[in-house]
Amino acid sequence: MQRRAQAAGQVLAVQWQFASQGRSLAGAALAGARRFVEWAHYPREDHVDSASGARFFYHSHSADQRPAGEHGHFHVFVPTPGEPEAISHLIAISLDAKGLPVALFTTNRWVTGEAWRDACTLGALLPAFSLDARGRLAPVARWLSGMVALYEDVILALLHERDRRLGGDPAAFENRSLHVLSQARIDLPQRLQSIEAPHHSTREVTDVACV
Amino acid sequence: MTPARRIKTVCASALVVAMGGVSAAPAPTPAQPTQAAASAASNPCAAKGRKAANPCGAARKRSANPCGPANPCGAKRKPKTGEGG
Repeated sequence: MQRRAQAAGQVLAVQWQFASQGRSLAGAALAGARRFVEWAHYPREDHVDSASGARFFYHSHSADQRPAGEHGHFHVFVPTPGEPEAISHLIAISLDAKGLPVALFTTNRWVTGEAWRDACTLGALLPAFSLDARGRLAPVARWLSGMVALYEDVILALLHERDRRLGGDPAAFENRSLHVLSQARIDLPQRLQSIEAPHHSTREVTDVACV
Repeated sequence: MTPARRIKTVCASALVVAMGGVSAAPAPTPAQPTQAAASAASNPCAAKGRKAANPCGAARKRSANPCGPANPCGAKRKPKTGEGG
């Protein structure tokens, strides 16, 4: 609970910092670019934390493939311990144009071309997840680190739901009709308020046991 | 001040109010093929003899892994002896 409270403070501090300046976190995610071009990565070569190996980028799909109300989304990746070149997609975080997170989602393997790891393996990495950056992306990285900790239970549930949808069928990894495998709408202000209520949860934690 | 108390001080509802004054980020615009080609041709890394930013090619990459990380081939590259940490 303490860890989640710290994460809430971290997320709120960054969100507040931008909001009090009238700036959108979604704008900050563009890493200084004036134009936001569909499919382009922001930053262009992604940001990679040299210490943890975690990486992220922000982008948008074309208008016909973009959910209503979504400005763009972050894709967050983690490396495999001992094999840093093999990276896996941890979670995607959708923002609205004002920079409030509106949804979390997972994707099929073909979408990111990732090194696939199951929910239990990825879930074990969640408590130690950290993303650091210097310069203009520093607050964005802090916000992402905080979001992963703040929504750890939801992310874990989404990863398990992702695996259930694929049903252990390797052929499903390349099934182009399966793109987003699990998603959850989120309400950040509500989540922040829930930190004060010890027994409140916005979503049931998955019932799948990891061994 | 503990994180929980800080949350109370700058409470979530205040954030909602503050968000009302936030300017929307620039809306996504469609990529123009001519611009993409020009950008690739002037890739400064390629000009210096380094591997191009996206050696697999943007168009191919998009159809194969539309949300894949940048430099997917580079990410799988094994570091050379004495390179990196």
